[in-house]
Amino acid sequence: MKLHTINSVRIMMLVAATCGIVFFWWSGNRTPAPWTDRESALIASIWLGNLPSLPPDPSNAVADDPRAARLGHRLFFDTRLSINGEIACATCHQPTRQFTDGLPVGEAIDRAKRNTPSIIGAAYSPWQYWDGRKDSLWAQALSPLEDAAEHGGNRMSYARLISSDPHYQKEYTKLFGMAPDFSDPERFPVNAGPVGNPEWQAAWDAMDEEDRALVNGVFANIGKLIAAYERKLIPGPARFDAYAETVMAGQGHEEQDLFSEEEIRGLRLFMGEARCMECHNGPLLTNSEFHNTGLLPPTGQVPDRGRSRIIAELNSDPFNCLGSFSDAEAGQCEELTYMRTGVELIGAMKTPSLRNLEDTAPYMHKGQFMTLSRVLEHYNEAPLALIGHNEAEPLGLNRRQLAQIEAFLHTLFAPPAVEEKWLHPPPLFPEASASSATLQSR
Amino acid sequence: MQFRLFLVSMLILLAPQPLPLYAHGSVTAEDDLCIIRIGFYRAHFKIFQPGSSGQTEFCEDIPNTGESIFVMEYLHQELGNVPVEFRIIHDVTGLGRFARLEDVRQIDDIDAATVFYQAPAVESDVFTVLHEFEENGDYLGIVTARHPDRDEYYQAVFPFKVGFTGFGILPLFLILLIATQLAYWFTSGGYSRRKKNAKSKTFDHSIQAPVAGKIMQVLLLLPLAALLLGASAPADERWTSDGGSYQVSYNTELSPLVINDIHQWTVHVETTTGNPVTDARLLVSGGMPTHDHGLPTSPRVTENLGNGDYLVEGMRFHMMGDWEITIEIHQGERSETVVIPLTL
Ligand code: HEC
Ligand code: HEC
Repeated sequence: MKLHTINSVRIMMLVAATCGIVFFWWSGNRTPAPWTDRESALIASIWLGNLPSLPPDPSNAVADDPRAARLGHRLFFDTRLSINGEIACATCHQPTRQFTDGLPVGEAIDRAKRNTPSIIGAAYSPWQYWDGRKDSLWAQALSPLEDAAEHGGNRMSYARLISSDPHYQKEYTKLFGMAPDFSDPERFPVNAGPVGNPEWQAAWDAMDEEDRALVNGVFANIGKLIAAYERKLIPGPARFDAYAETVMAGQGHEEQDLFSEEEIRGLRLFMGEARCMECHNGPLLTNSEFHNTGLLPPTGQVPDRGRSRIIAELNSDPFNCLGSFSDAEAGQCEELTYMRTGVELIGAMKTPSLRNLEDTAPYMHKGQFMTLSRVLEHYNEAPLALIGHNEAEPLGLNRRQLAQIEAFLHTLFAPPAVEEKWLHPPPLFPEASASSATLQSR
Repeated sequence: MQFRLFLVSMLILLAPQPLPLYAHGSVTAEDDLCIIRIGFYRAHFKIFQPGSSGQTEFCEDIPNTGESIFVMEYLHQELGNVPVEFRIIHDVTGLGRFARLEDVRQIDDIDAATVFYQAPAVESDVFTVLHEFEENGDYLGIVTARHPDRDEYYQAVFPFKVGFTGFGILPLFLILLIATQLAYWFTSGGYSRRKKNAKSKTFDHSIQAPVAGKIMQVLLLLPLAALLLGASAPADERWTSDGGSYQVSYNTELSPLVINDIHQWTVHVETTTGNPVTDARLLVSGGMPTHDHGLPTSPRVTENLGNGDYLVEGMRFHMMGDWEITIEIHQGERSETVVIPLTL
């Protein structure tokens, strides 16, 4: 090559480099570009104002009965629904913390296997639990009651509490008719149930088929009452929603003072480059679907198999939408009937809503991350999944961009839009404290 | 130039050979995957040491003691129905990576040599066990699985090392690679050039990234804008099947289509001459071509509505973007497929 060609190439490169640097500096510091039509449409799609009204639950006839919600409210806070008289749903799902507990994994009688999720907005999801192993709120509510790590009791004793506590009995009768009489110790042992403690299981197996059905019926109704209460727990509008309204009203960045430039950039990344909206979409920022995001299990544990492990269990669950305790017609159980299976579900967990992030740390199904910035670093790397396939892909964002996304996530924080009374334990029944010895521990 | 050619050919010769050379007992590498064979069963085999190596996958030898997770992702559906047993023993055969099943069968007291044992368990699709290794050394893994129907057992043995110090010839290869590059660079006068160019080199690096980034962004935004204009297909649009015999159109209960809502479709099938096809069997599936995943549900035809209309229940989309719905049309001997693209 001749010397002067080399030189002119150098000069051109220098000019290009300078332009590049100036452009980079300029694009990083000027006000963000106005929203495109598509971006505005995406913003509207996650605006809380677009949340449809609560979907009906045909499997629960009392789902929207206010009397059921009141009774469910009591049950949710009633520690008599436990083996030691100390645990209620509210022990782990604490109203002051967006119905979570601030722990990596739930803890009551013992340590639970996973992180306690918020239940605000849970009524919108077709599936409950991280792996979606229950297909309704009422079916879900039954399992912590019998889980040895959670309430640790058995359905026989819970059913008896309903039929023996005068207040519960009275209110229950109004909704479901008179609860059966469980006082005959020959037919109804003190403790009996098909899961957990082997003695309770033996007692349960020894009971008559019809007697077991009577107990199951009352037990299922306990779940339906609690579900009616949980349906009151709806997320409230956040600062983001106010901002979304200004965008929908056609205001530019300069005319609003709700969102900082960092938050605007974070929102743009969230919808675009960072691909968060592939899974965190709709007004609740969740598609209620199951995805493998390649998380490491905590020390000493094998990876959680998530959704793929429970499909068979869900189909055979006597309390599912198609079971005999459900109030739905077979044709109304679409989600269960058309449920998918397959290897995509290995290690897959339900996408959580991002509207409850305040107070709900630690994050992820085992509480793997204490902070949102750790969550974002994880998405940025998108490491290899130990089992199955990580659906998220490495993002290659820089620190500043990650901080912008985090800033945006903070704008989704809001207290739930729930009448104040539902957030506190109900006033005690006059008779309640007297009968707290109904449950006997063994 | 000739010197360079020589170097390149040397490197190719020295490059790590395809992995089967390293096959340890029943574990072999195929198409970049580590595969374990247990009789006629196959599974994707991998080992992780999250504590020391994060999410790095190992095929056989593992670098450290401590927590190790063994994973077998079943490639054979039947494996998901039979009990599988997993055992790790000290390599008492002394054969190292040449140990085979026959050698293991000759061990008298296998329990004495066992460091980890997982009793037979049925797992539907993936098998995982965790063992914390206390010392470096040679070990043998033994996996036992039952025949699907008969009372017969298959075994796989894979020898592996814990605390191996090298990566086979890989480090050697890397050192050679760097050395040859350096040698080439020096011989071709790179060092003296570098001294002169130091300044413009630094510029070089800083231009490319941001400019390329911006161009990429613009390129990415274009299709997005197009998406918005392209919206959903009009209801009376028709798609022709791959064999050219059928025309298919659809109507949705949800109009416009939105995400996260389970709903029904009515699919209409007719011949190219416009006669309704009333006796076809339809199989419906779908997915996002750019995301390599399917629908979140398994929709099915639940009713033949007559007049070439079929009711499809259980449709749901869980992401915005481009989807493809694939409908297989089976009629007598004939079967054809139609793909309906749509954008949400
Ligand atoms: C030990 C603390 C604990 C107690 C007590 C407890 N839960 Fe939970 N809850 C959890 C944990 C942990 C999970 C997640 C478990 C999983 O996914 O496997 C969970 C999940 C849920 C979910 C699913 C939410 C979602 O988005 O998937 C609901 C609803 C729920 N609990 C309601 C209840 C009700 C009702 C009660 C009382 C009957 C109750 N919980 C008692 C810890 C607790
Ligand atoms: C492939 C689908 C997918 C994508 C893409 C995705 N997420 Fe998630 N997200 C999930 C799932 C699934 C979980 C729960 C994972 C688990 O615990 O196993 C989750 C969990 C979270 C959590 C923790 C919430 C909690 O309550 O524990 C946050 C925060 C979060 N995601 C934010 C984001 C952000 C920000 C992005 C974009 C950078 C993103 N996600 C992209 C599916 C996704």
